[in-house]
Amino acid sequence: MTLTVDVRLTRGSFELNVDFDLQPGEIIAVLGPNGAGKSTLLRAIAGLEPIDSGFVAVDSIPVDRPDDDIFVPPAERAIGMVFQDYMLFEHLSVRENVAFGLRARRTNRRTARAVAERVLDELGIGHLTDRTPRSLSGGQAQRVALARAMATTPRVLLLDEPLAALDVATRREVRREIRRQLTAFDGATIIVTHDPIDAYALADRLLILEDGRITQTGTIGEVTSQPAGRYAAELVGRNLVSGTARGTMITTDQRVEISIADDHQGRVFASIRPQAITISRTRDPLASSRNSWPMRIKGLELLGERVRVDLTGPIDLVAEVTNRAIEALGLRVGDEVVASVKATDIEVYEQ
Amino acid sequence: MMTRRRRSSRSPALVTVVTVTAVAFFSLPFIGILWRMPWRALADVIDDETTRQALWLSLQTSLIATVIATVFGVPLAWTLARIDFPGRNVVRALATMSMVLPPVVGGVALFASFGRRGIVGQYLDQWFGIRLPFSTAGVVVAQVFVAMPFLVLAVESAFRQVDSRYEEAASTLGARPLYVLRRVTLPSIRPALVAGAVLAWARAIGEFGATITFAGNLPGRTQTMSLATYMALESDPDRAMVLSFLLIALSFGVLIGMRDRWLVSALPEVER
Amino acid sequence: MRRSLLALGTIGASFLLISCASDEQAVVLRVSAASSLTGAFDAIEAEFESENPGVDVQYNLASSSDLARQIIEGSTVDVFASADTRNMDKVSTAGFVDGGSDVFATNSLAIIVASGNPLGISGLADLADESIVFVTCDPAVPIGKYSQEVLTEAGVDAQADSLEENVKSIVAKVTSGEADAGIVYVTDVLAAGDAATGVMIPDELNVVAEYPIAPIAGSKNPDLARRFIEFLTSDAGTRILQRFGFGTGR
Repeated sequence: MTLTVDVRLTRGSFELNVDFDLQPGEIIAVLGPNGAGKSTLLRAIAGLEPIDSGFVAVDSIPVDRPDDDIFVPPAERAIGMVFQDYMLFEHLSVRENVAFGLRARRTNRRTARAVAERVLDELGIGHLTDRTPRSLSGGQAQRVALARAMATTPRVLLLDEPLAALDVATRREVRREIRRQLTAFDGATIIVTHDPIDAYALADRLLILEDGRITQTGTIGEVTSQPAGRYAAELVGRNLVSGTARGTMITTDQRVEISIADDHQGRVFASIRPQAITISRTRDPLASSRNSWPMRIKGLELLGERVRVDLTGPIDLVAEVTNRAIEALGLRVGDEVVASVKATDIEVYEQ
Repeated sequence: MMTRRRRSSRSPALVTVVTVTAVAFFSLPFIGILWRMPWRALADVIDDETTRQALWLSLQTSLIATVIATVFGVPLAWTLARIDFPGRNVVRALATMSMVLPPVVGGVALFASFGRRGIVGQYLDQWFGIRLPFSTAGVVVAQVFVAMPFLVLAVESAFRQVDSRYEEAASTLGARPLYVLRRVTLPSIRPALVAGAVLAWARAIGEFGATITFAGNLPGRTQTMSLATYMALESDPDRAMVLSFLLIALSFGVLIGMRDRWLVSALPEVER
Repeated sequence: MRRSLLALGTIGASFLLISCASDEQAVVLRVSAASSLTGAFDAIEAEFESENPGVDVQYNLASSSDLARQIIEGSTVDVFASADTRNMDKVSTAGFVDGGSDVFATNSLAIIVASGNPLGISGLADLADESIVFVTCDPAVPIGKYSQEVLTEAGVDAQADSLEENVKSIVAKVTSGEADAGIVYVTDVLAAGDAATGVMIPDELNVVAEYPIAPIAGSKNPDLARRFIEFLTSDAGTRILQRFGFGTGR
């Protein structure tokens, strides 16, 4: 086991109580609502927060075990961490930032700089070695932070909301970059995120943390097909479909065709917001026939002014419509309806 | 429709008037010295042995005092900023008290502690033969006593404002606490450190009351520029003018050499 | 807002009243006197005030050189009593003496050492010993100049460790134990009492310090100033001065 975590930690009225482990090369995404304790968990593993009971072990060696008075400070754990705001050292150049960890561990200056330059090259930002952190864009800073953490060849890599501060386009690009790096990384990686797309794109396994406890863990397929707990259910409620794209057409794994707005190629996820789905009694003969499917209402759930409609058909979808729409259409469980969604309302992500 | 011209960089009239008054208040004494300066006497006074001695002594002692104040003040400031220990407020008050005391009181206090019959002084004398009063070392001690609080206050405040996440990042990268302090924390407080050191130096070189009370007044050994100027007042007012002018010129030179960016900016240099 | 203004006004008015009242009650006579005159002049003040009700004598005690400078720079005093004629001449040359000055007392020097004379200092020659912490004043100060004269006369090269501001500072350094020896006035040794011991300087080497006193030009109380000076040379005054160790013959 590269990383074993079995900890209990109390801060005020919040209690973290988790138990999981990671194999070498494994990447897990920790998902959960705000305040679930995701960052606290990372900090405990890094050694920035001491745990109250239990233990954390890296490569089977305990680094924090209160019962035996064992506490290895962060500097001596083979752990690399990328912080949410990157925390690049502003008085050092990009190269010096990436070399920092090596030099702190007594590597001589020349070697450290050479390694730094190599790592930066691998991340595609070798041309930024002499720049100052302040002059970098969000995406560049993110990659420097990652390079800095990886330069010391840690056994465990912790990424805290790595893409949260970036805009959509940059996020996509950086996500690709991170995935490339992580695939080549032989240690274990934990990515904390509130965006499920990050999880789907980067991780092998999901770990859902709610109120300090793990409510579900498993592969993406496992979690989305059998969600346990409210957060998982809401994840699924976002309608995530897996398939293969060819240009502006996706063929799902169930052979359903979905039209999308932009060109994509290869394996993709298509995400459809429940609010973007329209329900009608019959197919409108004048409307385009794309992204329109006959469905049956499996369930109706009243949520204040809105209603959650569980639809089953060629693809299973969850839609959200107003109470009034339900009344106007006179919808009931078991009814046959037509669900449609515009191509422009579908978000596509490469797998 | 009437448009108003933007007056964003002009200050309100009242503020301007008050500012001008304040500036006048500060400049007049110096202009006064320039006006009454016996320029012909300048060369003679500078040539005089005791003048050179006083100047050299002032520079030497104030610089050493500033270094000592920094070496001891920075760790003290760090401790006050970071570690919550019982009696912290008392320690801080003690460390900065000499700022509010009249310097002569400081001198008397130094006697009681480091004088020949002082609590510590008597042992220094008996066991080591070290006598601080009436010695150059005594001048340095007096200056450190009055100047260190300036540095401690400036630096403690800066330490408090450092974002601890930078230090956390450094430690996850493998840096031990001292390395973090050296390569991350201290560089980030550099402007405050420089400002504090300059203030301390300025206070040290201007020190009079504690020095004359504790270290005494002897040309070449303990007579700093401030003391020499005071002595000159009794016998040779012209000389007092020239000495004042020299000390002002020296201090002015240093203070004006302080760049804005060292003092104000939180944009430290980039290490390539 | 109104209330605090009223309160401030009341306080201000009371201050005015109090100061006016005291002004009406007492006439203030300001005397700048050499610090060696401290004890004697305190006693003088008590006597003079009891003989002249309504008069408040206020002293400004410092080294004569300091006092001379202050007068020349414009300090408003009525009388100046100096420990040497040199500083009185400075003031006179600058035109601040009203009429002439008179010598009203004399003094001579003695070595002052710690109580009981633990180091066994016997005379001026011992002051040349480097291990002894010896303090004096700058020659601009009367005692500084007198000490120089005495030491030169005795052929002693004393290594001073500090130049103090006035003679009382020398006494303080010796009585507190910071300095081993100093040259001060005989009157200072007497005034120090048990806190110090004096070592005599032989008459042939000693100086006679002459203390001139004069009314200062521009004084608001010239008659009162003259009366004060006359008191010093009267029987009552000379008795007090002698009690403190001053000489009063001319």
